[in-house]
Amino acid sequence: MKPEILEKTGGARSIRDLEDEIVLAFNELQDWMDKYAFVIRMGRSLKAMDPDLKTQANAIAGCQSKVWIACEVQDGKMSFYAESDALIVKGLIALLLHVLDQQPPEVIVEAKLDFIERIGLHSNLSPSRANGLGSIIKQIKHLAERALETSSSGDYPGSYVQ
Amino acid sequence: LEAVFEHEKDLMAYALEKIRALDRVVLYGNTPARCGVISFNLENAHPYDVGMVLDKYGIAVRTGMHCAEPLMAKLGVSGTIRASFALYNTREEIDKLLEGLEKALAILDL
Repeated sequence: MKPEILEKTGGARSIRDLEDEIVLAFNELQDWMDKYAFVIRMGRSLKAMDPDLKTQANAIAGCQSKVWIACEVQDGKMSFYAESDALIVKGLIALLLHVLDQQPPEVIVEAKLDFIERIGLHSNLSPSRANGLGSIIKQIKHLAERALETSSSGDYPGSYVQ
Repeated sequence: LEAVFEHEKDLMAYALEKIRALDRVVLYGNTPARCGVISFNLENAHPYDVGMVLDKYGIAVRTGMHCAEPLMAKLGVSGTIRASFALYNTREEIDKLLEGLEKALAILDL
């Protein structure tokens, strides 16, 4: 059966487990049209980002599509808030956040995220794809590193790291 | 050279006619001397999304601001889709572009 969207189950699941869930869902999708439609549905299911967080500081530079990412650290886990004006990019973000949201920053920093290759979306990592997955992953990891630095300097848990 | 000019003129007229007939398309520019490129958007669609679908469909277009940010601001858009034609393109390829745009409308569920 074709998956509609992947729901957050709320339990403490590992990155590996969540990545496998995405790979299984993609295995059910036969052609790229189905895969893109799934990515778009995931994007539409992404929780709305507070407009006040869509600041220049939270934006990822690029001229193709707009992307904003902010995060919050609570009880040693990171919550992400993200949005893009392009549907496919928003869907790719939703897939990443399905795996990374509510994970501790030290785990996010180390995450290999090889599910992107396993589902064949690595072409979106090409540097020519402005605001592709590559720059979004880089920013998420940067936020996780910042959270770790803040944590070791005694300011943890912080509010919006950036 | 005259033949190349005539061919490109024919492609442009054909493409304009086809794209204008498409539902929910916004065409930019209306100069009668248009040649080489057509800039447009699908209503409510981000040009990047349409470009990615067209790419999967084997159609190469340029999307984005085309290094013309002040113009995009003036038009009130975050970018456009730009199809360009040259002497090696054919009417069949324009038909394929139109098929791709219909696909994009369907996949993006607009």
